[in-house]
Amino acid sequence: MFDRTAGRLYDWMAEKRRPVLAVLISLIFVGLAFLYFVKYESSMDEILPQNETVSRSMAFFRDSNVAGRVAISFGLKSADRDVSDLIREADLLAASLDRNLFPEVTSVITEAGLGKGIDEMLNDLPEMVSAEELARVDAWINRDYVAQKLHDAYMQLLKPQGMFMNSMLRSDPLGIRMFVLNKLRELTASVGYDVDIKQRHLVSRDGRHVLVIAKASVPVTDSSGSRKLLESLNMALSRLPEYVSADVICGHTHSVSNEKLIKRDITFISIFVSVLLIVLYVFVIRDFSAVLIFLVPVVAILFAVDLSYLVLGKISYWVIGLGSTVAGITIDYGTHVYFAARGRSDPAPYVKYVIKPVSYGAFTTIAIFIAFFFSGIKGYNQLAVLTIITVILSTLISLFVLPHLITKTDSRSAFTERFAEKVEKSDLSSGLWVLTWIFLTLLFTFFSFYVDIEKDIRKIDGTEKEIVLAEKRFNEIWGAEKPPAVLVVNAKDFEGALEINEQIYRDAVQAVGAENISSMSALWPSAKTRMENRERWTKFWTEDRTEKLRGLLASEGKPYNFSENAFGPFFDNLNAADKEKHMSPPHPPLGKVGQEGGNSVAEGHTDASKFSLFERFVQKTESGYRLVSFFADNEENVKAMNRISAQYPGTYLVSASVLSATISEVVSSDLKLMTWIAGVSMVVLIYLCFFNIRETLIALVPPLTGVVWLFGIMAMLGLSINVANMIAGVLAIGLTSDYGIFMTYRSRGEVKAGTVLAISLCTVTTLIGAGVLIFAKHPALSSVGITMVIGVGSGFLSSVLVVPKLCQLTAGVSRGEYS
Amino acid sequence: MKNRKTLFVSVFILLSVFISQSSYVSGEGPMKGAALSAEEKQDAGVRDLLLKLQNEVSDFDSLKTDFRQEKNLAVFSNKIVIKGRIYLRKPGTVAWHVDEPLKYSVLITDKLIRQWDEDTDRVQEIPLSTNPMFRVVIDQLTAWFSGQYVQLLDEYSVSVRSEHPLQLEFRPRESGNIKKIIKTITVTFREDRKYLQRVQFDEISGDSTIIIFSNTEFNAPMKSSDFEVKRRV
Repeated sequence: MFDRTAGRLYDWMAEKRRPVLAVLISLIFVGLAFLYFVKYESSMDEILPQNETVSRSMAFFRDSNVAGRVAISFGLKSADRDVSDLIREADLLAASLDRNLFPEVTSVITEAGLGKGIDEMLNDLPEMVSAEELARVDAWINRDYVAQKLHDAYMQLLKPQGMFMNSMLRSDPLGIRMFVLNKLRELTASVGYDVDIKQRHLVSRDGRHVLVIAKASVPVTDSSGSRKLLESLNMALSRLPEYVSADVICGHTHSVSNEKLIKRDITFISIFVSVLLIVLYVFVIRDFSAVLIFLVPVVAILFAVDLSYLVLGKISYWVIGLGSTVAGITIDYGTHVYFAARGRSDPAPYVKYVIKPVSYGAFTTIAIFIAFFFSGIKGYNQLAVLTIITVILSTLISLFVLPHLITKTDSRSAFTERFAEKVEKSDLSSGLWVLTWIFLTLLFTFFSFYVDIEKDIRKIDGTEKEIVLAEKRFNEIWGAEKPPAVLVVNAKDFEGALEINEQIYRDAVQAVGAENISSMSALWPSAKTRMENRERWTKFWTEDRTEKLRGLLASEGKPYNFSENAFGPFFDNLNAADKEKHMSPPHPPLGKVGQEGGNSVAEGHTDASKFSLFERFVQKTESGYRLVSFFADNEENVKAMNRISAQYPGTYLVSASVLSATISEVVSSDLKLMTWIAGVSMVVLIYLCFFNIRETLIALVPPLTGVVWLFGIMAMLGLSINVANMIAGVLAIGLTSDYGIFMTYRSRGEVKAGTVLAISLCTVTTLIGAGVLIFAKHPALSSVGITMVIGVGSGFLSSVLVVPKLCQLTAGVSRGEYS
Repeated sequence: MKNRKTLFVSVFILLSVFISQSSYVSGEGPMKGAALSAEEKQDAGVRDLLLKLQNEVSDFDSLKTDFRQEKNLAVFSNKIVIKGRIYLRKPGTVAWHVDEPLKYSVLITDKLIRQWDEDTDRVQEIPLSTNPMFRVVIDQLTAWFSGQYVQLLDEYSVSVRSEHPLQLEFRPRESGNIKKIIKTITVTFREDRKYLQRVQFDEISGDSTIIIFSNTEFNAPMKSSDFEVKRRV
């Protein structure tokens, strides 16, 4: 049935050769023109699993205040210059940046913003002091403590660093404000960030670097926008004097670098492989029409990119990169058809004979990529669409168009004929090879259990070395070490978020210790808590307690000549707090974030007075507010914080280690599912091809060998499976299953169709394509190359060296009979 | 580099505490506007004067001077008079030795304060990184003593109170935190304008501190013990 229908189609195409060709050529031109309208993406998101944790983490990074920021670290190259010179240059550069690309540039730090926040907290001291802290204050109100405190204060005031501290002492002789100031210090120190403020600029501790931070109007995922932004920035940086260096740290450099690397690799690989394949086909086959075999996948991928874009609405660079590799393997179909048809005065019976194995080879490849639709990785779904269209088109063109374009045999191709015959007749498969294969397969089976799955997606990030080095320098200069994990609280209103955050902070202090968590709740309680604090404070300062302290200060201050009214401001404040029966209206600290509907960065405000000390902890979202707390990203903390988060709906963790573990978990389960689906589909299709269990099992030898040897060798070489080379592994299975089908089909010996030479040539071309990928600069493409070479190479060896002997041993089919 | 992908993200998380205080928007910033207002012209004149003074005053590598500090603080019932010596070595090292009313020494570098006093007879080190309030005061003092006047223009508006002797009044700008504490700082230069003669700090609270310099020597030979903080006989 299949043969009959395919045969009729072949005959029809032979009759309509000219109009079919005309239509095909016209479509090629349309396809080429359409390429201009296709929009490409270079985002890493497409190759990440669509899992809740992953999506949430990526969305958090995208929406957070930190996304889209550009940090420029200026450095002094000359010892003759000082930080003032550097600050001047940094200011000039900040002022010269294109405001369309960098709407906000921060180089000057006004203390007013920061001071304003601290002032607010210090002024609202009754609202800030907790019950535990008040208990400590109570313990301070005794003669010894007050005497020591006043002695220290006197000494402090005499010293140069004590200048201007007299007012503070007068309004706070016990140092109650230090509760707030110490928490503030801990909060800023807990980020592990090493920075100094000199001449109102962010200066490194070594005094030789200045930091400028700009907000970019271009999202990190916009690759062409990122390119423009970096070009503009680099142009401005090129005007810096010789003695100033600059490192740019931002997500845009990663986007541009990845895209540049992939483009460069694809261009290099395409040109190199094309030239090599043309040379191989023209010089080995010595027939110019062999170039048409090479053109089949090129035409197929052209149409496939256009059609995939129409179907999906978007397509990413890395999908095209991998899709092109898949297209490269479809050259096999054309090769088989070519060797069946060439040199025949009537190629029809020979081509019709290979229609079935070629079609089933294509079906198995399609079946494998259908399995990709079951993956949680969006990019794999895109890849499935692209490759399935490519395989279908390649097969159709190879079977029904290509044979009619192949010129008849001439004297120049006699060499190939002889070579093909020699290869067909050569006795490559033997019992010894079968034994060797069994031994090696057992060995690699053992090792295959030890193959690792790469958890760290950064390993396949193609960021250029210069950017990595710049980030390393930045890290060393500014002291940011391991990125912290984040606990996110979402709520509709600011106070609601603050209350949950406060409860979580209390639990977190118990679980991981206050020193391990950086939360705004450490410093700024919710309105409810502040109200309770104020009431407690008012009750605490009874007349007796107040008078006791007043007396102690007066008597213990005498030896140092403290004046009678030295601490009058402190007692005046107590009276004021006592009179203020109602708490000041609840408001978020410093920038009035909650009341005014957003923090300064989120809404693009630039008024320095709107700066919030808590900016990094608060984000305005579409549905309300998001508060974040930071903690060290280690297993112990993550487990503890996860347990806490589970108790509070609407909260979640964002952690690099959790993200890696989740990706690994999802990829691993994806791999298992896809392997099962692909495996079952492949077995079913191969059986449908042969309707014979013996032949089906033998045809499965190459793909099984490919998988086992691949995992075994990868484990032995210390290589691991990642989201990119996983596809290559599956691809290798698809290819080697074709080899299995062709070689088993060949063992039937019905028609001589040059199978061994075709397979060998196919393998050589695949290994060339994949081999070149090994040298790609992008780690994802490089890992794909290694996987393909191992998988396809081992599958090919088993198909040529083992399959014929197995056919012979199991059915008594001799090579002589075949010939 | 391991963790590089998220590094840049984390760096911004860490940085955000410092950002957005002041931004140049739509052409604001150091290059703002081409036409100079009268105030800006006056500022430019003062800048020139300060630059000239800075060049003259800061034309030394080291300096030693005696000083007398008078503190009129409401917290004390009497005026506090402190006498001692200041040693300064560029860049950024100041030793402050006090003999009266009690002996103490303070060494100030750009990273830390090391201090000793006869009361406790202990040497104590305080990193400036963990004491931002000290840092502000120390930065101010270092700027005054070492003649870095131009950089003070960011925080103060300056007017000339008298030409002979040259007396400048520094008034904190509205935007700075220093405005909450300092009312004015009046600086009187020596006749030769090579160094300070007197600095008076008037605070908003009404408190004031005067430092009078005498026996100032430039590039005089200094002993390493001048910058040591320990018990003095």
